Amino acid sequence: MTVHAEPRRETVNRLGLWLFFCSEFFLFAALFAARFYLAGPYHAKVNQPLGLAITLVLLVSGFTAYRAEAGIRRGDRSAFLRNLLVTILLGLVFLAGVGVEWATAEFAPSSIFGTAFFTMTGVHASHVLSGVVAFALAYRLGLRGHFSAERHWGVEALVKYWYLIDVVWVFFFPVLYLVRA
Amino acid sequence: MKRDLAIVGVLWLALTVVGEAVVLNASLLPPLISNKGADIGHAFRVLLVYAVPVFAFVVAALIYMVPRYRAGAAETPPEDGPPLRGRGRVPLAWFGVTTALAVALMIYPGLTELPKVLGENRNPELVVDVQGVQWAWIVSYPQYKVKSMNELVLPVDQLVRFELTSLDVLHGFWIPAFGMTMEAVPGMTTTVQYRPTKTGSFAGNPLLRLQCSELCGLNHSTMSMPVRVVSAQEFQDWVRQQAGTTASPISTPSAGETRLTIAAKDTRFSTDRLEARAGAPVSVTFKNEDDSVFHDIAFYRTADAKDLIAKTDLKPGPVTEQLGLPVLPPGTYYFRCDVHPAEMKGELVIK
Amino acid sequence: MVTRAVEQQSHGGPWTAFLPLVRGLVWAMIGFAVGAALTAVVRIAGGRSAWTFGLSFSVGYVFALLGWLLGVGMWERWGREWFGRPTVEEGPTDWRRYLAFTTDHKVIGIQYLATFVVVFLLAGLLAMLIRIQYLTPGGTVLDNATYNRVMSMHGILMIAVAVAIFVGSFGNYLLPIMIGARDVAFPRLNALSYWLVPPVAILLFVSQAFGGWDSGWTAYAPLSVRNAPGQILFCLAIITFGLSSIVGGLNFLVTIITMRAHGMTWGRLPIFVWSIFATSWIALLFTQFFAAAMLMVLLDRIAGTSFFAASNGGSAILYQHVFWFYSHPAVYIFIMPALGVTLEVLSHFSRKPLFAYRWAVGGFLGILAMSALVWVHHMFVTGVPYKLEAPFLITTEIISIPTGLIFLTALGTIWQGRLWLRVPMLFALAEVFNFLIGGITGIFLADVPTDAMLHNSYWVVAHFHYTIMGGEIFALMAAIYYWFPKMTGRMYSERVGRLHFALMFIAFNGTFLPMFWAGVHGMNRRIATYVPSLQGVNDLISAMGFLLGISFLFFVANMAYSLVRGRKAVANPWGARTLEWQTSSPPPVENFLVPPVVTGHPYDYGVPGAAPYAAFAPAGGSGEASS
Repeated sequence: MTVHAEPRRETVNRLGLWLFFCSEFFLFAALFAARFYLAGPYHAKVNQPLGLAITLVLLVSGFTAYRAEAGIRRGDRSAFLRNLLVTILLGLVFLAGVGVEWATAEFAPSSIFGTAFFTMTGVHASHVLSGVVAFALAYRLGLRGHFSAERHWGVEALVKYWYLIDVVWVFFFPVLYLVRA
Repeated sequence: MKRDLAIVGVLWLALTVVGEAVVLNASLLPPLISNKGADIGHAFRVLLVYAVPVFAFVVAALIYMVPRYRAGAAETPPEDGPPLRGRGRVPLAWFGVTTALAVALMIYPGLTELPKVLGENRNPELVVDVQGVQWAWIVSYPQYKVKSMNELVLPVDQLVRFELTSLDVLHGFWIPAFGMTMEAVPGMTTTVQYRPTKTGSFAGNPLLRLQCSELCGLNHSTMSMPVRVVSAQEFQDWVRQQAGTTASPISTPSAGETRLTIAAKDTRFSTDRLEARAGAPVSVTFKNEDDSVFHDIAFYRTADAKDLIAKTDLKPGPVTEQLGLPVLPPGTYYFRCDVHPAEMKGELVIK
Repeated sequence: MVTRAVEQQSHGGPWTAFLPLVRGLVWAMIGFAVGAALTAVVRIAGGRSAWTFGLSFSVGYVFALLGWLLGVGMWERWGREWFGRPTVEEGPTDWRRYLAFTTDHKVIGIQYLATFVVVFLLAGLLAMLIRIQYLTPGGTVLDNATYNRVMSMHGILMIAVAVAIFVGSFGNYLLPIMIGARDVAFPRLNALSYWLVPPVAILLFVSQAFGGWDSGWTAYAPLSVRNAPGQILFCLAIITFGLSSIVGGLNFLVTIITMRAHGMTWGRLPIFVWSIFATSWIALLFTQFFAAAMLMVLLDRIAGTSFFAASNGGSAILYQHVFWFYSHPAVYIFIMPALGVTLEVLSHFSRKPLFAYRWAVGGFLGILAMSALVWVHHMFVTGVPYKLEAPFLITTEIISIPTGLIFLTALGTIWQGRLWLRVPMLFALAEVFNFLIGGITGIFLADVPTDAMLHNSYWVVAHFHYTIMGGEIFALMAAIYYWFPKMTGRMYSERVGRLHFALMFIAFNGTFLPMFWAGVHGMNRRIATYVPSLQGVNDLISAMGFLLGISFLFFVANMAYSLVRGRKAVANPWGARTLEWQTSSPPPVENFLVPPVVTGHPYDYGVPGAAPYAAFAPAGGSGEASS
């Protein structure tokens, strides 16, 4: 890397964000490993249609997040706000879905699969919640004209964070729902 | 410079010779009286043989260089020294030597001794089940249907396998005299196997004790049981004596007997004094009210808890047990919880 | 970010300095109430009682932590931005800035240093209590319960010091200056990193009101799942502390990668900076496993999960895997900056280039790489199948090779040098000796057969005190004395420093060397009482331990007196080449009046015609080009 005494702020911020993602990866990896150590590759009876539905919701929200960032990047404030709002709503739907899954689960947290399931989905959901809250703050700022095509690092960072959460779910969902019953 | 190197070399050689002489001749370890202990003691000595020249090298270098190159402790720094970069063969040689040492060490006494010490393959002559519980050891000999919570007795020169488990938290099964420790883990059985090679007892050798070596809460420090290694004959005698004194609990009370009730709660008995009439059997109802804590009640003829009359099985609460005592002559008898003997004890007075 | 500078009042009585702390506490209590209320609402809706200690306290704490951070100053400096309001650019500029949410890395470095020196001395007092207990085998001073709590608190406080004191104090203070930067990459994140620390201390002390915890600093399950409720506060404290560590590591990595001065190539980085670089990767990545282990204990306690409940299929061994996957690399957080400082001091005080510089860098990076692969050596006697232990025996042996490279550099730097035996150099030399013993005795634990004998005995206690105290703390002393003039603008007393050194070195070795003997003679660790045959050695250890404690009195006296009455220091009392000595003592707020351009190598002592390490633009330059 070339040596700058005064590096561009974006370079610094982006590197920080990626390092943060590396760290988060280790947290999710710990839970992932514990799941297999404790419960092997098996899963108890889960609500497959619900799981599939919330997965689709989350993936679509990743797409709308992308659209939101693309919007503000080209200065299209209304596209940005619209897609951001949809992302927030989809995030809330995802959380509601997890809530329903928890309330109607046929296994208890004290069972070995339940231990892994509730912990993994819970830690993931807490990250989704933090993303939704942050997006809501960004929406409010966006309404007041805070972001522009030249200055929208907050949006870029949050959208990338949202991608991270999606990617984690892409790994968590199969190992909780799709492996051997 | 050559002179400096030569002096350091000589110093190193001298320290190494002295060090190896000590390591190879002095007894740096207490006597480890098991076959595994012998293997471990041997590995320990080999590691010391490796360690001496390494330690001597750095120490020789330091104790020579500091006085030889010292340039005072004045206010201003001394002049600069020669610009030795260390880019050439010295680092490469160092890297090579340290790698060779590490590889040699990991092979012997590492990988070669590892299966000897931890790999179990031969059939033992004696199997001892050990359960750790907060804060005592329950030792049983399934081949003889004998249990003990006072002492661990082993026959000399017989291969014994310990099957370890814990009834609650992690405990460490450690008899320092034999040289090995192994954890007792709840929910699984770990094993350790060796052959004691000398007789002895805790009274003569403080290392002959079964000491918990994994922090397990309040009384971890005192979770200890004396160990005795005896001849084969003495062992058989002891086993026979233990089997004779384990009375079976009588479960149904019958008429004409004294019924006593006693409870255990918060690691305390509800009373420390029980009374009964002479000439009639005694039935004891024991309620363990401590959730998931192991208690029993054991009655002994003597205060030193060596002469057992009868006792309940050790179980976690909440649970109620019935225990029948035979007709006892008038006098004072003693009861206690075998797992918490310091806090839970009392007297049974028959008159 | 819309900002405006706000005039900070410097008037008002001195008590205004404590306003941020008070407001932090008040907002923390409000946050706690909010969190507990939210929990109560959800629980009542589910038909359960409003308050249950574990869950309600934990949720309350999360909100309390946020309240504390915002209240102590994060709201004005950062939080307002999230709501589109202007933030405050500057904080107080006088001594009040040490009690505020200040973003100047030099202030944060001093905040860390002051906090953790106090924690270290407190934990040291607990050690004195332990040594008093060990004067007699029956241990009549502390009962079993109190002893376990004292020992556990001593452990975690010292571990916290070991993790944070080098990186937090000297990493923060020196790193930007040594690379020629004005501050770290994320100054507000840096302040956040510090202000996460007081809640950790508060939780650990408050936990004593809830029975404390008796599972040591390692908090093994299942004991930590079923002991006193104070354990819950311990878990929350560790998670908080982990956050501070992760954030700090992230900050340093970005700073080193992006903010080096012109001309400061990787090959011209001071070795201390390399050591912080390697350390920061561990802090960034592995700390998450410590948090995960604590989370699992918390969930088993408050959510009824069965991570470690054998009766439901859980495993106590899982805890050890998750815990040690962090806690082994953590020991390299302890020692790498210490070795970095030792090498710095050895070079500057031998007036010679750092011998085999590239190999030393390779050593640090090799340690970093191997650190992830050795953790099972803490579990050799837990019933792990021995064939699975063999690879870890191998990796643990291998890690001695990069560590050995550091010794190569150390000895090669001293060789043929002009040894300036001032106090920093004495501590650096002692560190090499102590860490040698620590490292060699570790081999006996790396070798599974001997580990089977030594596990959880006093050999282990001696080994880690030699590496952590003999290694890191001695290097810490070297660092404190070395950088004292830079940070305070005054010189310490050389005479008292030498007294401190002599007493500390002799007492340290006298205290911990006999522990090896005790370990092989049947003394296990973490016990309140021991067998009477070990009283002799324990009395010796205690006597030396008290001397060790006394040696710190000399240290404290030297620091206190010199801070107030020490002779004024010049910019470069050591005649050293690295960048921190090319600016005033203490440095100006922006570190350098003129940004440096690096033109040479940091350790080119005695090199004929060597380029100066850095040049400063002629106009108004205050730094002198080094020779």
